[in-house]
Amino acid sequence: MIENGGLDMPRPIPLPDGHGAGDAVIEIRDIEKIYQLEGGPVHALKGISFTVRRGEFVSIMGQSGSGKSTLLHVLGCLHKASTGTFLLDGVDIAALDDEQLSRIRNEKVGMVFQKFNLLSQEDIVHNVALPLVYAHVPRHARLDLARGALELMGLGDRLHHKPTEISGGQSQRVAIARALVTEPALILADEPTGNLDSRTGEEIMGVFQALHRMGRTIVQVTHDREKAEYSQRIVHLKDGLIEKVETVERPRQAPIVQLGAKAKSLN
Amino acid sequence: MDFLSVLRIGLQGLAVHKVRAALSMLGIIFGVASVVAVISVSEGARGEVLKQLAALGANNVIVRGIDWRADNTVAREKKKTARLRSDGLTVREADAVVSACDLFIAHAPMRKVFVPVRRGEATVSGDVVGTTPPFLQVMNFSLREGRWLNEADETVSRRVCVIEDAIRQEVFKTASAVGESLVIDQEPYVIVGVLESKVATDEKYDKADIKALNRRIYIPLSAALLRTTREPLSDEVHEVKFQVKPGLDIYSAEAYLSRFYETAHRMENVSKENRDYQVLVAQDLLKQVEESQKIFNIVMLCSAGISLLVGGIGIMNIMLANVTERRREVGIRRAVGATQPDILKQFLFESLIICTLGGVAGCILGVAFTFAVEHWTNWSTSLPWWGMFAAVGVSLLDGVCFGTFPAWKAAKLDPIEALRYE
Ligand SMILES: Nc1ncnc2c1ncn2[C@@H]1O[C@H](COP(=O)(O)OP(=O)(O)O)[C@@H](O)[C@H]1O
Ligand SMILES: [Mg+2]
Repeated sequence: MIENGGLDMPRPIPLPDGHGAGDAVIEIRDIEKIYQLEGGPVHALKGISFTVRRGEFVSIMGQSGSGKSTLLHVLGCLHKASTGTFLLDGVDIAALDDEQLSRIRNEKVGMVFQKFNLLSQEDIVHNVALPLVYAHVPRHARLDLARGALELMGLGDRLHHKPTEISGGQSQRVAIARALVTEPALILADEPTGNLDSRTGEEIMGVFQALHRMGRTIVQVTHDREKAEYSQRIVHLKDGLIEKVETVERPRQAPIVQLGAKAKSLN
Repeated sequence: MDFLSVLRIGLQGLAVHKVRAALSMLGIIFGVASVVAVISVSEGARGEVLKQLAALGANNVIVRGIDWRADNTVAREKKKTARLRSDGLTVREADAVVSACDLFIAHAPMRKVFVPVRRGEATVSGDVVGTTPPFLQVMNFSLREGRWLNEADETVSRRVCVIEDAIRQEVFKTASAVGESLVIDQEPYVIVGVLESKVATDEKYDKADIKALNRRIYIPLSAALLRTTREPLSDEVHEVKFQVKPGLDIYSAEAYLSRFYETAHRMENVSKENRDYQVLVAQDLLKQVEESQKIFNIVMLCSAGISLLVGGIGIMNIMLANVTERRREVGIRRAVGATQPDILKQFLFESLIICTLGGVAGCILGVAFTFAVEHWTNWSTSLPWWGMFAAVGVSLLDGVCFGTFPAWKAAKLDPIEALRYE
């Protein structure tokens, strides 16, 4: 085993529960989410508390229907929790209206989805620049930043391809570039490898680990134990509650990804 | 969001469904074309009326005889029949009317003389009209230089003339034409005055009319009757203009003249079409034209309204379909930070692009229609610059009215629901 396998990672002291963490990006307390349906309310989250500190790489695991996506959507400010407090990078989310939530999503969160969610009519550099449009960044600066993010993802030579002209792994890297381009405090990923074969999935994990080494804060949702083991900490959800929080003593190591290189290892 | 991005996004959105977008424009196109047509045809009619007003004099009652030019056989026949009862319009008669009542401040008979006009060897294209001194006041024309025909000219049938400025420019090309002469029907006439040209910017006139008015050469009526080759040989005049006293009702003056001429020409039992004169009030012409325009305007405005309504619904339809199809796109945009107003703007802007394109196409169609009307009918048309703006404005309004609801629906989509959509 590689004893110092994690040495190249700045490893914050993993706290199962982040009480007392000084520099928290996510701080949630007693979060509940209730969907009001015709057949009665669905209690998707039943009181969840945890903290994610700056620079951490955390996975959320659980069976289908356990509330992973619901929680991730709360963390991504796509909807608000029914009750509970949520501080995102120091901002109290509960107090915000729809427009302010949009702004927070724009400024503080980068989202990566299972289905990539790229705009098919736009080429990839415009896809990556999309958040900057809503951040009112001028056009040239926008495209420069997008190009930079794509180069970081090893896609500097594909700027003007359409999403339909690139592979799944490349699509997901475009999505990651889009999530990075605003320099957000937090990167969230919902089953980022769910639509990829295992080799490509492993490469995406390599990208996340590389970003993590650069100091990014990443929270991913997965139902796949193996993918979760690439992170430092696993929050297990069950029926809308935290079942346990597990520290990964020796995270799996994806083949090292050199960000910024036109890496051939990334197909 | 900056304007360029909104424009880019809007055009991309449309590019996905070009045919559908084009079809949805049809209503707008026809609506706008109708608006353009209404504006140009009614403006044209207004211009037509104004030009008639200018030729007749707005406050005048005109008694007009039959135009007996050689090529008008119908008029000649009519005149022959009428001759059994009357001698046509005469100066004596007109003088009698004016002295018999207290309705008119001035009157001016006009006799057109169809004779050649030359300067040296060159033919001058001009219409010779014999008239009396009050004509200038009755028509409210003004002089550019020299003087108008006076009583002395009339009394001795002096060979003098007053020309329009256009003729001065054409024939003499010098700053002044007073003192020059023209040969009218073999006899030299000295030019004593030049009239101010009637320009298009003047409210009173219109393009086509100006051509006719600006071609005239006025000589004393007595000279026209004595010195020129007449056909027929009578003292008849073509037209008499009676200027109604200010403050008096022009229609009672008209009624008075009608009664007088009916009796004088012994035509009480003759139908109006068969009489050898007509009594005209300039304002009546305006009313007539407006009346005949009204139906056209109503029909066209209705069709414009229906087209715009249909066009608007078409746009609402395509935009609702767009919103439904592009829910996922909305979700993506919302997820990366688009606000509800951003989404609203995006879809509304797309409607406005459709409408603007439709509006421009409609304008082109409308202009084509206008040309067709001008070509195939005797209506005159005129499209003022504001007509185009009005038409495109109407189409934009259509876009706002019918594009807001779909755009609002898109903006109100729940981001998570929208993202879930395949
Ligand atoms: N929009 C929704 N409306 C109603 N119920 C929902 C909605 N989204 C999720 N749920 C319910 O909430 C629970 C948690 O779902 P979800 O967060 O999607 O779980 P997971 O991502 O772990 O599969 C499930 O019971 C699901 O049926
Ligand atoms: Mg899920």
